[in-house]
Amino acid sequence: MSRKTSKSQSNAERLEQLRTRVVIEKEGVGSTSSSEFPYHSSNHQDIDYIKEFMKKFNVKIIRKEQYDMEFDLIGVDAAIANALRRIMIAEVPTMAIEKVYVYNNTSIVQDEVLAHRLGLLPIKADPDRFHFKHANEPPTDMNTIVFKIEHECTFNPKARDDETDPQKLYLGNNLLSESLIWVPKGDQEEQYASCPLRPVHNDILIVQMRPGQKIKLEAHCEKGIGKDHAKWSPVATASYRLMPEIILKQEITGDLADKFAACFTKGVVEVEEGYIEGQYVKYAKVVNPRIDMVSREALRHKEFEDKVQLTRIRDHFICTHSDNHSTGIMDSEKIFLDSVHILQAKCRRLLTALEHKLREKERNREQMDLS
Amino acid sequence: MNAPDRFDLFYLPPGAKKMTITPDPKVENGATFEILREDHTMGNLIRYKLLEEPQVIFAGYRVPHPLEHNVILKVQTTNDTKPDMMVAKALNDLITEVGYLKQKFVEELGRARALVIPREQKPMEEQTPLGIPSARDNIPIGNTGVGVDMDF
Repeated sequence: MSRKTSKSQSNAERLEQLRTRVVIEKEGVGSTSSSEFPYHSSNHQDIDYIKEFMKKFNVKIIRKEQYDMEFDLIGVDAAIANALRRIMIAEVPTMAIEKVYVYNNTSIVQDEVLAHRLGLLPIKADPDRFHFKHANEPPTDMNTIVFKIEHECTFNPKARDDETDPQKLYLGNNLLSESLIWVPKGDQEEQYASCPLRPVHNDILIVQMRPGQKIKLEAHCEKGIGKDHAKWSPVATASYRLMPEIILKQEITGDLADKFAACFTKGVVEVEEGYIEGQYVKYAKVVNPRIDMVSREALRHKEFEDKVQLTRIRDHFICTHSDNHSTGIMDSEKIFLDSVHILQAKCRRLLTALEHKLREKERNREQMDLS
Repeated sequence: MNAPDRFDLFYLPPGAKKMTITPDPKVENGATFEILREDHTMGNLIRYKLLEEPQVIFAGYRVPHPLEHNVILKVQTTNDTKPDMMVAKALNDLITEVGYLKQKFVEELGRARALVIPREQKPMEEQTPLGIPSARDNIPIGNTGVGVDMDF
């Protein structure tokens, strides 16, 4: 076991820790901002940051399901991790209902509320196969998907006279997302023969109705991004956190070990038995810091004061994103890869604008020289 | 009534320039970049990348107003170079870095796929809610979007 036994850190160690770790203190979090910059520390050498990045960068996929994913990005700056997270939430395009033409709506839900509810339904359609529809463009089969709803609620003739359960008493009292009928336009029918366009979930309740109420409408889906409206966001959420690290400066043994283990999320610290300094004792062992919720409970107790330090690894991001429970429009890895492509495209766009400017400046200088 | 158009958030108005560069009148080798229709995503990213350059003395960004979708980036460099050259380098570096990130991710994805992880057996209702055919049926195998460049 290679564990530091010295109580006090040397200065170099402390600096190294401030550079690579976010320090979790009793009241607050310290050294939060990145300091991986030239001239930040006295022993700075000229570093080729690109080479450095390629050397230390690593990805680990921890969990991969169709619509859920957890992976580690190791060796990146928060700016990159955050840019990707923001893009996944707000800039990866999907299809969602944008325009609703209501022909008849006698339900108690107002037209605009109904339209809003319809807009939030996730639509199973590959956004790559559609174009963005610009404000004054007419709808075409390349930028619009049409759905229709024709629904009416009636009494169930087979219901008992004294029936009180609305499910049995009425027919069609729940308008569910399965009632959205796709109306293929142009060559959409052939194009999407293998994967008909539909709402992702069939059991989303849109409106509750009573006999005599009718809804007839046409809904147009358009391509959009989450920045415009959250209904276009492909993820239920995308987030990251830093990898927790629990440093034991001294062994914690005996009954204290049990108390220590109880300070953390279950499974983070285990109590084991073995020989420490020639004595057979119980001791605490950090097994799985990843699942710790970093409650700082251990710092509250006097007896652990000099024995434990909590930190988080500054460049180790545990990224998760899922659309399992809400959208399920796109595969999880596709959302991430799309975000990477979009980030690159944004950089290229700015680069083009900048080069344009530089050329302009050059031209102006030439003209000045001539005149 | 006076609400701005929703597409105002990301569409560059016709005739407007994506980027304007104003040299700082008082600071040598200083410049202000106004980037239209960008936000913290790019602002913070460029700032971070610029700070890694030893020739950059100062780099900072701000979003002047939450309802105006513009970013202002201020850069000052040493005499060896010019702010616009440094921003161009930062952007190029970012493209390389993110490209590498993607490459590693795709490699790792291949590895994760090859490793058959036994999935937890869920009860039938959970796997196919209300007897809807699983969404998996409709997805062509291998459709990961890898190599598909976005037109954005």
